[in-house]
Amino acid sequence: MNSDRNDEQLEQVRGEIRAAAATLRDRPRLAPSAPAPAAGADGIEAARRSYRIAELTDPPYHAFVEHAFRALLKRAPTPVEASAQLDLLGRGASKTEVLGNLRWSAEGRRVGVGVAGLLPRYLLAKLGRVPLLGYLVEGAVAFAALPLLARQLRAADAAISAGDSALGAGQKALAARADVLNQRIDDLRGLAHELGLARDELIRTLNMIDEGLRARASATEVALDDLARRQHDLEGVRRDELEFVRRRVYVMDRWFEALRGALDEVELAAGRRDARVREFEARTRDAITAADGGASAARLDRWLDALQPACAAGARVVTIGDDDWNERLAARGAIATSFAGTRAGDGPGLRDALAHVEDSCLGALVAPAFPALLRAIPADEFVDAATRVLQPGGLLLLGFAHEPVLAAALAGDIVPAVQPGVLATTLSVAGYSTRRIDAADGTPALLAWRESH
Amino acid sequence: MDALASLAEASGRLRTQAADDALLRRWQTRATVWAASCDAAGSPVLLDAFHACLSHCDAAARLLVLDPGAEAAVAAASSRGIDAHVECVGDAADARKAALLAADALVVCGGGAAFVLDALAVGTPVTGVECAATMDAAGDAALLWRAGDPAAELIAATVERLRADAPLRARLRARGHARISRIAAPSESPA
Repeated sequence: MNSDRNDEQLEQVRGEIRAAAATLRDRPRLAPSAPAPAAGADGIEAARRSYRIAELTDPPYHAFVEHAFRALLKRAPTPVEASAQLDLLGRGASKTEVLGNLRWSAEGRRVGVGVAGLLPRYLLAKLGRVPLLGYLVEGAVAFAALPLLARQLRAADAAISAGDSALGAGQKALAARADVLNQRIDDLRGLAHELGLARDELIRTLNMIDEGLRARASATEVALDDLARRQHDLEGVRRDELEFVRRRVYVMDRWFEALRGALDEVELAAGRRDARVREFEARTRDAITAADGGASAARLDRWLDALQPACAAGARVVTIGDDDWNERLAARGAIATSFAGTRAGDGPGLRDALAHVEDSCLGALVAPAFPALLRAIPADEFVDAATRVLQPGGLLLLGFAHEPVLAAALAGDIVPAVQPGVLATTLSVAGYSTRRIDAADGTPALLAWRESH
Repeated sequence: MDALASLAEASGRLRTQAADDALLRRWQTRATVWAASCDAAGSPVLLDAFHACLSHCDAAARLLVLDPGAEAAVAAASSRGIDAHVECVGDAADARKAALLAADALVVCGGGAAFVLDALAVGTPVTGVECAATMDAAGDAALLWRAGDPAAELIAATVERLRADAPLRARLRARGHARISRIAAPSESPA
């Protein structure tokens, strides 16, 4: 709605402009003129050199003097100069006389601004200053201008009346404004009083907060002191406990040192004993073998004959516990090895040796004195290890030679009493087929093999 | 943001740009001041209109041409004997703002939309001859005349009216600010 009204107004303006444009050419042609000179920031148009007298006389009182100086002398008046010109006006001088004084002063002549119609009026004003003649001239001028003066007097009277009326209205407005201001001052006083009360209340509150904070600060200081004391005590206790623990550790360290020494002695004694036992066993075994009149050699040959299929050239055979056996195997072309330094009773050594043999790599595994071997490894564990290292179709020869068993028994070792029949049953449970081979001296052995699947 | 919105945003920045004080003092006189923008086709219309102003409205009027490289317009003014009244503003933003602040109106006879948006942003009324770019930029915030109208007298009379009619100037200024806001933030404007 508002937009429509605006558009209507704009359309109306357009119509008026069209009408003005239609009559534009009918207006009198203006005389060519230079572009309007620019006024400086102080309102002085320095480049302007001509004025109409009305331009200079129109402004009232102060503005007249200011404007006259700026137009005719191209500068602002000093306070003294402005005051002198206002005094002149106050003594009844005309504005044209003031303008003439400025224009034809030495400075005014040097600036040389032109004011159309000023010169005759100024001369007439100056003529009025000549004694007697001036009086006559002014009288004549005043007489000639009596109708005009009367009109101006009436206009002045009307203006003064209007001014009085406006002044009265202004005074009333000022009084009303003063009432409002007084009311506002009262309001402000009331507000200031309330603000003062609020300020006092705020100060009281702040003081209470301050006291509370101080009390809390004191309590906090006390708590901190107490905390510091407790910390000090705790540090003392901790130091004592630390010293106690340090002493305990020292004692335990000494105790462990003594224990280590005792264990070393035990280990050394055990080593000596083992060495003695091994030496005794070896000597005993050798003595028994030497005394058997070649029976053991014949026994080994008998077992070797049984093992012959597994002793082809290049076959790998591992023997546990009898170097003589290896020599005989090698003579038949087999690659015969034994676990070097492995005594039948050395359990961990035998286990490690078996664990290091590759899977399915042996043509045969031989233990000529199987009962003595049981001191080192249980039968089922040995059979499992043998199953792992034997090739498919590999042979297991487990003899019951009595010399190592006898030697071990003489050395004080307890050798389990195992019968061939019991061992055959054990091997059968593990999937082996067995055949008993009795040597010439009656010493039995079991030849075992797994049926290939 | 489309091209017009970018121009409006740039013109919005001109609102906070300081004007060249020396130029502003020089151009702010009691006489009529036109800021103007024109293309080659609009140049004769502009000069005809300004000549009509000098002849019938204000013999001391001044024409400030905003387009950079408006020497052709000045040369044409010279051939008409009014070159003393015509001045090129140059392309500095502070000079352009001084010209728009000093001017009673921006007179557009062809040319781009940028000066129209600058004038709307600064609050200078816009008048001139209708063309697509000017109408796109000014919308309903300018007093534009169809090319078929007797443009010279209409433009001279429009500037004279704008110079004399403060309420009209205020209405156009309000529309100009609203127009700039709508263009610079199209998503917020009503459909």
